[in-house]
Amino acid sequence: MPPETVIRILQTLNRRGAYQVALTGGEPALYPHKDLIKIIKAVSDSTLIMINTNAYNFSEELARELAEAGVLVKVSLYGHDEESYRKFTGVKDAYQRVKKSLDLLRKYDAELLIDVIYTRTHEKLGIKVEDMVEFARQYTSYMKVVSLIIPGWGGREHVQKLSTQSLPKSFGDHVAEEVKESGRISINVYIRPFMLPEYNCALSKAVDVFTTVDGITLACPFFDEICSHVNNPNWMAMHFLKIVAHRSNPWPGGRCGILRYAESFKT
Amino acid sequence: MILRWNDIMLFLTRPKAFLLGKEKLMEIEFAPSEHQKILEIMVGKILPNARITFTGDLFVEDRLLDNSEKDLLSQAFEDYIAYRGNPKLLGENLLEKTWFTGATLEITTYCNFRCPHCLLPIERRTGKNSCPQKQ
Repeated sequence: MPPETVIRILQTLNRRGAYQVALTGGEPALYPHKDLIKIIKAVSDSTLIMINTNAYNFSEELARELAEAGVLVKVSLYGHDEESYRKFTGVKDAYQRVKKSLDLLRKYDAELLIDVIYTRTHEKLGIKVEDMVEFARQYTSYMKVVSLIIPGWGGREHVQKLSTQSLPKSFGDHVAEEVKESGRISINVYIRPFMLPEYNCALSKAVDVFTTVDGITLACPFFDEICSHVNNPNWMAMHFLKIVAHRSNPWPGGRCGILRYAESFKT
Repeated sequence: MILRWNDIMLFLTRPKAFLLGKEKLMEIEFAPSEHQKILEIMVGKILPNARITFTGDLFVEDRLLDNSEKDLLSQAFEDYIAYRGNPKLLGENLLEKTWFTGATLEITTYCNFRCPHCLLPIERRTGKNSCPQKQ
């Protein structure tokens, strides 16, 4: 998607009241860096931006620009050393590059959140979650352990086990309190303009289970307005992608909660 | 009619769906025409008119669908659909209570990692139809 389109969409969302946006992919840091910086500069005054990344492809310039613009960099961590990274991601130089990116983000004092991704595969590979958390702590205290909960994968038990571990205060608490006080429903719109239907369908479901206790499905009231910025028939699929709403108690560390929390320390 | 939509993964161009159970994922296949009809019902009738129940399901009034449409959905989604009167709904004006806090925007589909939990299809992960320009 060209950066001009991204900017127009973000401006539309901002007009409709959405003041936070998570840029994701795929891997958003594989988007041309000059365009990524252009997007961030264009909207960072009015929108709180989070970038969900695997931290593989960060240049010094990108790290500096993200830090200066106050972007929240949410890194998904898949291992804690060369071997664990290579086994899990299938990429030889992944660990070295991720470490370099994290070092750069720390150097420029970027707002850094780390998702320690711990799945059943990690267990099978003999990778310990404690080692990953220890590695992440070198860079930030804002972290959480996450895993996918997909029926048939045994994910529920897995996550229950993880949730009993001692981790920093849940980011989700902040938004839960706010929603409780206001009686409003907070909503995050998932926009996936590049679509393979099976991917988006499956992933959006996974994300629902992943981020909410009581996910609610609504049709997007400004769907047409957003779609007017692009000419892509696949956007029809957004009807199925839904808006994820947190009615009362977002799952600890849900996206929405992170952003609200982040905003509190940004100001 | 109550539809457990959060437990249904209806594919858009492939004629199939996943039904999410507590521990199992059930895959069902449709005839292409049947699939097309289900999509039309979902997009044209159910989603625009549905309201949310307290349990997070979708509720639409029975009169919105004719008998053949009800039969089709019942056959397709079986236990994930129920006709049992008026459930307790979240509120009359749900959208008035909503608060749009943010968006998640996918700016590229390509990812160079091959993590086993990833749901990206292999052709995406290997870079076909990927980002506009790799760094």
